[in-house]
Amino acid sequence: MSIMSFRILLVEDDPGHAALVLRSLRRSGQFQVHHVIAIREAYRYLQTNHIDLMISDERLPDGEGQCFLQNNTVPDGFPVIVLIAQDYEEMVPQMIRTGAMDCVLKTKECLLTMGDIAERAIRHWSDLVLKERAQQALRDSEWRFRTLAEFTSDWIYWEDMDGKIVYVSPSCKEITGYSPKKFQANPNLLSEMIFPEDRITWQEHRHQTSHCDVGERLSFRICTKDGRICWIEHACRPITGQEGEFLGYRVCNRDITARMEAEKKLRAEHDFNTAILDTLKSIVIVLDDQGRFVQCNKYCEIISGYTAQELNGKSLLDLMIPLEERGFVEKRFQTLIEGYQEVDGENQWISKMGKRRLIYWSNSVLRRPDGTVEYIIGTGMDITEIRLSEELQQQIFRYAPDIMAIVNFDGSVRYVNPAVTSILGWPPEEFFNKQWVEYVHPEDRQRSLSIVNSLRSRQSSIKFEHRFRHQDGNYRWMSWTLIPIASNPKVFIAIGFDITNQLLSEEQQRRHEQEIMHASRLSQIGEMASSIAHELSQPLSAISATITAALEMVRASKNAIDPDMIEALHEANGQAIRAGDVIRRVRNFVRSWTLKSSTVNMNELIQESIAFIRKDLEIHTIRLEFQEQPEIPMVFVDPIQIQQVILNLIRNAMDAIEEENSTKREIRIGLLHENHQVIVSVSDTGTGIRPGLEEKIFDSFYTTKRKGLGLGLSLSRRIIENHGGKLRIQPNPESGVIFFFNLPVERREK
Amino acid sequence: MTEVKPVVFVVDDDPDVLKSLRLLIKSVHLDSVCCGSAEEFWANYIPDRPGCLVLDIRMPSVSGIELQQELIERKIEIPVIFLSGHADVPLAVQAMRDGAFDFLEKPFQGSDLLDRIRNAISTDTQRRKNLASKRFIMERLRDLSPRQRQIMQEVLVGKTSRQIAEDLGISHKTVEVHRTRLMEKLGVKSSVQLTRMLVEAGLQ
Repeated sequence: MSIMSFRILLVEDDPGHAALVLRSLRRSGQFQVHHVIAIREAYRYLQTNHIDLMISDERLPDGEGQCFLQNNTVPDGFPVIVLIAQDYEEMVPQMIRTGAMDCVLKTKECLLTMGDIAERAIRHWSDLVLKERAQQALRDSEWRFRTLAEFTSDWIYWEDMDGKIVYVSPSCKEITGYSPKKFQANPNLLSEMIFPEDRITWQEHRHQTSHCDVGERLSFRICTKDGRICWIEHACRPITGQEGEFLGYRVCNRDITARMEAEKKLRAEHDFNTAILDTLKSIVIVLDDQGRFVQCNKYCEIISGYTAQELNGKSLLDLMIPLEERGFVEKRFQTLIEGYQEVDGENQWISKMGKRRLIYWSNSVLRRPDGTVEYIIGTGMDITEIRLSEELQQQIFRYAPDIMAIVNFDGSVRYVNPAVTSILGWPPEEFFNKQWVEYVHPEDRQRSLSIVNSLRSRQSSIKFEHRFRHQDGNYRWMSWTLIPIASNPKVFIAIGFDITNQLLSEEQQRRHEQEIMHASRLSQIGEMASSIAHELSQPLSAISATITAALEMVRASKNAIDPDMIEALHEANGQAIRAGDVIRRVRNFVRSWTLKSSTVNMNELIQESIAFIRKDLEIHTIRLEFQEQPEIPMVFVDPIQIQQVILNLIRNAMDAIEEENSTKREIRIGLLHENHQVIVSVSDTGTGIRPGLEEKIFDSFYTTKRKGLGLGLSLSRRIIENHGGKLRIQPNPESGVIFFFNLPVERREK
Repeated sequence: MTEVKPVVFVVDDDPDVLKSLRLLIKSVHLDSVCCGSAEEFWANYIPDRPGCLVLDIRMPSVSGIELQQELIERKIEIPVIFLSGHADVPLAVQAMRDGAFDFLEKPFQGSDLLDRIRNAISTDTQRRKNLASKRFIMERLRDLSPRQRQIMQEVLVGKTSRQIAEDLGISHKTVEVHRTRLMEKLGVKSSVQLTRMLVEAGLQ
């Protein structure tokens, strides 16, 4: 450090004193002293020279030395040491008060120490100047600062270089609960408020900032007057004066609790959003105003087959939109960019692998403040499958032959498909805002309601049947399947179809079966009766013929004949006639079951017969094969009787297979059309028949079965012959036998 | 013409019935040919004797109905009396439709059958007689000159000789000569006899 040279102006009219002062000052070697003897001279000198110190006698020839103290203020003036004559010591306090830096009594000892005194005065003055300048700067900026501070919600304060709180903005009250006065009264209040965990950070910060003059931001928590914890962002900045001198710190404390919370939330939200975007089963893309990819989510990568990197900067239109759709997609872009509206729509996408997907887009644009488009944001759903299943669903609903309805548990009908019209006559609108139960047969209502109610607590479907009113006023038997919907506990699905006809036909089927059974039983009895009649009619015919012959012989005889003998012959003939009458009556009784013929399709008749006996076949594990012949013409027969024949033949075949216990258990029914005859054959893989018995088995009461009357085949043959056909038997080349019969094709002209 | 003795053919597969029928037919002094099957019938059939066929409708292999069909095919016009078994009415009806003479349901009475046999024989005899006279008349008619045949037609529609002469533009006397000639040739004495003869022969 170079030796400073301080300029001193000495004003002293007494040469002795002046000499002493000069001697003392020169001794220190750091002063340049200019000596004048009058006030006038001193002022002249000061006009052109800058001095660091004035030493002036109190009594001067042209006035009092204290005149120099007037208008001489820090920092523009200079320090003044007043020399006071002995015995005028009482003037000293007056001098200091007026502004003198020091007062020195004019004694030899005092004057000789003037060097030290001057030095001290100069230093002190310098301090004062600095301080004053700082305060001045402080005052200037404080004014500007204060006007700002008063209007912000930030808690701002000013701490001077001594640690004193110069200013605290009123917002401190709102943030901390303490008033500015409290802070000014206790400069440590802030430190005391800091949350214990954050105190170390705070102290480190304080330490740092007091050493280096760099402002720093930090956040910490404080405990407010009412006990709240409040996040504070603290920013402090050292204040310097014009000359760069340190003036203290300006501090801005901002309540960032809300922001911290928001940030926390935001961070969570951001993570959340990213997670959502990536797990989303929707495509999210961000395009620039030229339609080029800026960003996309994972699902977009999956659906498109391109990675985000591959997409980046590429034009969506060129890369993925099929040629035929580019026109309207581009138009949609334009509308979006110009129209200030969100434009939704769907279009195809061609993925990297060339797969087409149908995407439904919700689009929006992000604009810059000037209104130009910054980004286009598109959210797309891959609706390829949805559309397909939607269409499928729609078509199913529209064309389903069954009624499909969505029904509220409160009993109203939300939706019903058009099948309701074809099944129940009502238009679908009929049921909206109506209670379905009103249409249910009164006897079925309670049951139906309780079934529907039980559905509420179920996950599986329920089936039930009830009567539902048709538009024509009749009730139809409906079979319903009710399906609960897990996602919507207020509604269920009902699927229904009309089973009235089914029930009717079941009834008919039952009646038909009964009829066949009845007919079968009757014809068995009839067959038995007429078989007996036939068997008897032969000998009776012979008896009658023989007696008649005898009577004729007697009449022609030339010899006399005992009249008693003639009577006996007549008597015998009478009894034969009587027996014949009995037989005739039986026969007439049987004959009263006349043919009830109708036009019959043999395919159907055979199928019906098979259905009739299917269970038996299953029990005996016998396979029955029959191929329908669609070209077979109709026959005009009594279906019940012909069915009886078919059943009879199938039963015989089953018995034959059972008897043989053969491994190949198969019955085959054949049907063909030949020479205006429909020929039905029934072949089995059974025991077959001994040669020579082929005709015998058609005789009544002939049987090879342990159980059985031996009427089946004779009855069958008679039925077929009554229909103008023949029933025959042939050995089956494989094994067993083939029975076949023919029936004349119905003649149209009849 | 000597009377040919009629014959009754019987076809039945039941030998006992067959035996009793032979006895019955014999008792009224008729000849019978009894057969157990259709095949046997064909072996023993005599076409030139009048008679009838008693036929069981139901028989193994070839049934009565089938035999009837064959008779029709061979143009054999023998009257057929069917013996129908139990409740064979539909078959019998068909048989009647195809020209059977009659049918009897078993058990039948001998006397009923005899009645039918007699009817059938007389019908067949008559048929044969008609056939014969028809043949005879046809031969005579062949002998007539065209003019005589022309005049016969006019006579048959009931015209007098004078009317005929006028219509044909010939003399009354010529007509009379032709008329006498043709009557002589046909062996009839009056126009009434002529008409009757032709009707009986089934030609009118």
